Amino acid sequence: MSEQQRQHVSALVDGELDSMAVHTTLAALAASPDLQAAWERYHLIGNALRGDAIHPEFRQIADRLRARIANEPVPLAPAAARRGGGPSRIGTFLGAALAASAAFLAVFAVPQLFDAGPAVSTARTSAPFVVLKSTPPHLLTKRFEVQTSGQRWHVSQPALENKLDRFLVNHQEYSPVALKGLLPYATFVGYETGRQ
Amino acid sequence: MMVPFEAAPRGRVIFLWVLGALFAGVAAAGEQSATDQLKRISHAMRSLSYEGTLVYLHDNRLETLRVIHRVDHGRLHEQIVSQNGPLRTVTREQDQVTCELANANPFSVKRHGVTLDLLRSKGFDPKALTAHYLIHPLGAARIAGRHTDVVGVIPRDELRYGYRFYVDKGTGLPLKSDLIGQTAEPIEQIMFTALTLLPAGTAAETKPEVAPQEVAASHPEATPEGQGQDLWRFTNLPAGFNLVMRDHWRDGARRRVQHFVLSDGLASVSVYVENADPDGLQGSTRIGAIHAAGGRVADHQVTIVGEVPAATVKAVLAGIRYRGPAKP
Repeated sequence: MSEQQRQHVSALVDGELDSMAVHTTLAALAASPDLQAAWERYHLIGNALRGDAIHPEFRQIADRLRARIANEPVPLAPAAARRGGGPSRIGTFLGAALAASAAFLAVFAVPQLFDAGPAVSTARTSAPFVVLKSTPPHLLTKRFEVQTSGQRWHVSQPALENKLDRFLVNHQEYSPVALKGLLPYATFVGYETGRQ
Repeated sequence: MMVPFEAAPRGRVIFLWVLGALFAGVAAAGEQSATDQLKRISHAMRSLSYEGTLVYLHDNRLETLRVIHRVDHGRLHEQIVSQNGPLRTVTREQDQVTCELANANPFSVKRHGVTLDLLRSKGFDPKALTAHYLIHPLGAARIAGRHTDVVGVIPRDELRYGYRFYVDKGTGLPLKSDLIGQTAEPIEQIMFTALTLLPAGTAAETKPEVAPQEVAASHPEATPEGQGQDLWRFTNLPAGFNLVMRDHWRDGARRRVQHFVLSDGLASVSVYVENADPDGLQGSTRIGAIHAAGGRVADHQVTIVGEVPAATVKAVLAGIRYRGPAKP
């Protein structure tokens, strides 16, 4: 899991990932358990920061779906039964594909389709919570670590980062109106990345 | 009493006309008030001296900034210093901006005063914005212990951001500014938590502490739009954006950079053109709400930077055409 991949996943969670990077990020997310863990962690952190209910459906969703599909009784088609008694590779791939598709729909599409506003206040509902007792201490502390500085432009090349800084300062100086006041430089001075 | 045949309808017409004019006058007064507030901001930012503490909210992160802003006989001295995390400062003098950032050498950007003066002499005309923004009063609020009028600058499309300014009734300073994105939610917010107005004075306190090591010097032949060699053309620009300035300078002692500024009167993007550069931006990136896009055009490195949505910088990049001779 590279730093850039981690930042892209973070931006994806925030809905701020550049559209050009969505495809590659999804592919990396599907292939990397570390990125999937980061994905879950960012959702939990986001929910906690916003004071939302913690949604357990974001926890290990692909594994849980895969396990549920594996446990479902599968009626054997006669043709498949005639080809041999061993497990069908096509069926395996189909199950994995279904799990991945379902995971994708559950994570990306369903929440948007059924998003009826902020999560209901947790105090008076029976919304399930994730139990963190089994989480190792080092992961618990990781969630509460102080955020440190990272790449300001989400790029890994310092030379490019410096160049973009210079271009931005030049741009601000030639901005035609003073109306925006301190906002441009507040972005420049105040902006720190580095979500862990 | 006999009433002339057309007297009653005519009377109603006149009454309705007067009523309509009255409402139109009230509406115009409200609109005028909002545009006047924008003029007050522009004037206050250029003429008042103040210092204070700001909070800056972005991406669920909260930063504190200290600002000193002095205008001494028309000359600007300003310094913004981060109070959280690694020390970061921007110091603006009349003709130079010096930046000290974390994990980077300090650098300065010199400006050519003639170009800047020409740009700013055009003044700020809120009415010129109305094709692409709705400028509207949004009530009143209390910020940093002071009373403000709230003004919305609402974009009419998704190619530019909106703003919500909380304008100090007493001074015209924007005590709070919200940058509004395409979902009508604030992307960034900056707000004074304490403000002290200063008499115009010396600028000794705003000198940068570290000598800059890298200087991007502006070229003395900087020109406003319409002059100079025209090898680059901007086609299919986002609605309302026009070329307002062109310049060229050297990035440090190394590379010659052509600089174009496109603006709709409020939002602006810069286009930087230089020789092909292995360190050039390919694709797009952002810092906060500022987006950048870059790529190769006719064997040149072209980089677009601006406080606009990603789609806008990409549209500008896609529309750039080179009209000069092919490079050997």
